[in-house]
Amino acid sequence: MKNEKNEIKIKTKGVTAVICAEREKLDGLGEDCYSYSFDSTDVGYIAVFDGCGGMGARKYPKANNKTGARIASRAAACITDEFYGEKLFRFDGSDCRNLQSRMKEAFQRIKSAVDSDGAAMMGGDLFKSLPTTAAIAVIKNNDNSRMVCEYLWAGDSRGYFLDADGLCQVTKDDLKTDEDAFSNLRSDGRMSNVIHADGDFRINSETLILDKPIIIITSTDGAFDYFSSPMEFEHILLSTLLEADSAEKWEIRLSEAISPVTGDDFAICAALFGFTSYGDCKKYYKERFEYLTKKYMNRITEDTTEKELLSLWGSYKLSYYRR
Amino acid sequence: MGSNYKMKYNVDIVFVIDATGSMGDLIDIVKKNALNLHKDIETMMGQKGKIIQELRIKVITFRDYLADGENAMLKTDFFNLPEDTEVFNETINSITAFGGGDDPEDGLEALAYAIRSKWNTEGLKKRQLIVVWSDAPAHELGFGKSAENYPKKMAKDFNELTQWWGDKDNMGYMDYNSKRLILFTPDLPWWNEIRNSWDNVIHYMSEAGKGLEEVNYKQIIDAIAYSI
Repeated sequence: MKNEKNEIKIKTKGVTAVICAEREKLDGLGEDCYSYSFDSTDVGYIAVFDGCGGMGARKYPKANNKTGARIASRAAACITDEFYGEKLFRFDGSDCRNLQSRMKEAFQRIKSAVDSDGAAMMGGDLFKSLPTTAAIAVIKNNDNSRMVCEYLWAGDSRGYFLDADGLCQVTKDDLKTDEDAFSNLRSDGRMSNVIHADGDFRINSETLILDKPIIIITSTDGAFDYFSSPMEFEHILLSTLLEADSAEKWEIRLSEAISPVTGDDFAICAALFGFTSYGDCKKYYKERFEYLTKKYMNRITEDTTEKELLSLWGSYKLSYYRR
Repeated sequence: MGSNYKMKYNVDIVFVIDATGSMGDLIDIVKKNALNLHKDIETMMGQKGKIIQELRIKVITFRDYLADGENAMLKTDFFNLPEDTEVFNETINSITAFGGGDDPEDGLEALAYAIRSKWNTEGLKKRQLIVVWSDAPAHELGFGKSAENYPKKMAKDFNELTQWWGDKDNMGYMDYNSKRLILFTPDLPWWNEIRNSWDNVIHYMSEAGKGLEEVNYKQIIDAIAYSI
């Protein structure tokens, strides 16, 4: 599912803007998608979903020959949006379990509907029916200076916040091996948990109280997984933010900047809170951008060795994992 | 650096091919496409924004130690593609489907050889793929050990072969994050046991004894590309 911009009404006070950048590598065949909503209550959400192309490569004739991966990401987005629409996010520690049950039930129903006799039989742990990752940030924004943000996720899509101290990854990738954001760029760790229709899976959660102003971000791996280091992902977020003169232009610039780097579909959502205007937001992040550029980006060139990159990451990760 | 940074992969693939009598059609597909294999994999990878830095392919054909004697197991070294395309093509085109004895074949011994290949361990990103094609169940390991040419250092049973494959706590002979096993085989022993108990496996289940007639070249290339 993809929410069209003109259908979205952002009524919640304190939300400066929401941007969603995405790209389908092949038109009509993309496996990533986003959804978001901010209604007139204090609660809103942004979310991204990445149908897992390898595990979910099977095509379903009953669903216009779409892959399981594409069906799954869109189904997860619809279910999340319904869950939000029914005002079921309660911030009491039960959201992950309730959303998980809802997804499990719905995915099994969808599988029954699209499965057909005569389809290729596939199995093994590299195959799943309707597999998708999810990264959802549900925000309760009922205070002038602070807000509650509940991150819900499965797989390797990520939830972040970005403030004056830089980008912070809140979610922890579900991987079979122990990797951090830097090592996983090299090792491509196998996922240990994704939403799917064959049995058990888990939706993780982490709730933080965050000070405004701030940007909350959810992203699929297509947006961050094709750089040589996590610093470069923050740099592309900030450089495009500062180049643009409105949230709409930031969305376009971000999409244009990530597209040539990534080899994958991607979806990224960002919600800006506590800024009086886009110009105010730019002013707020200018110093951080200069620091990031001077301390890290100016030292990352074509000739930077792995050892040097690792050393820079060693310093950067202290703030990247500061939650 | 960001915009110039592309994922460069060192990819090793071992084709493990049942070369018994019923497998002629599948072998013909591989023969027909051997010359284009490098280009086709590279194109698929390019569409995913992944660049192949080095592609090496090795071929193992298997039959039945007791029934086929010295033709039971034939192995090549890795071919570097595209440099070795001509000799790779000649090798593939020399494979002929014959023999086999009883229904099951010695596929597990072939898989054991594949697992112990000299994998490329260089490079930041690598993939180690084994692709098995067979329309028959596999004999238990050691079924053919009374044959003169049965290998001396073979895994003694399925448990040992499982250790050779490894898991996240026990590395085995292949890199845990890089390895993938793609099975185009029937839902029969021991292929189904592998599917149910090994990590990093995808099993395209085929009908027994039909020479994998339902498998086509695009499916093979897709399966490889999705696994890299």
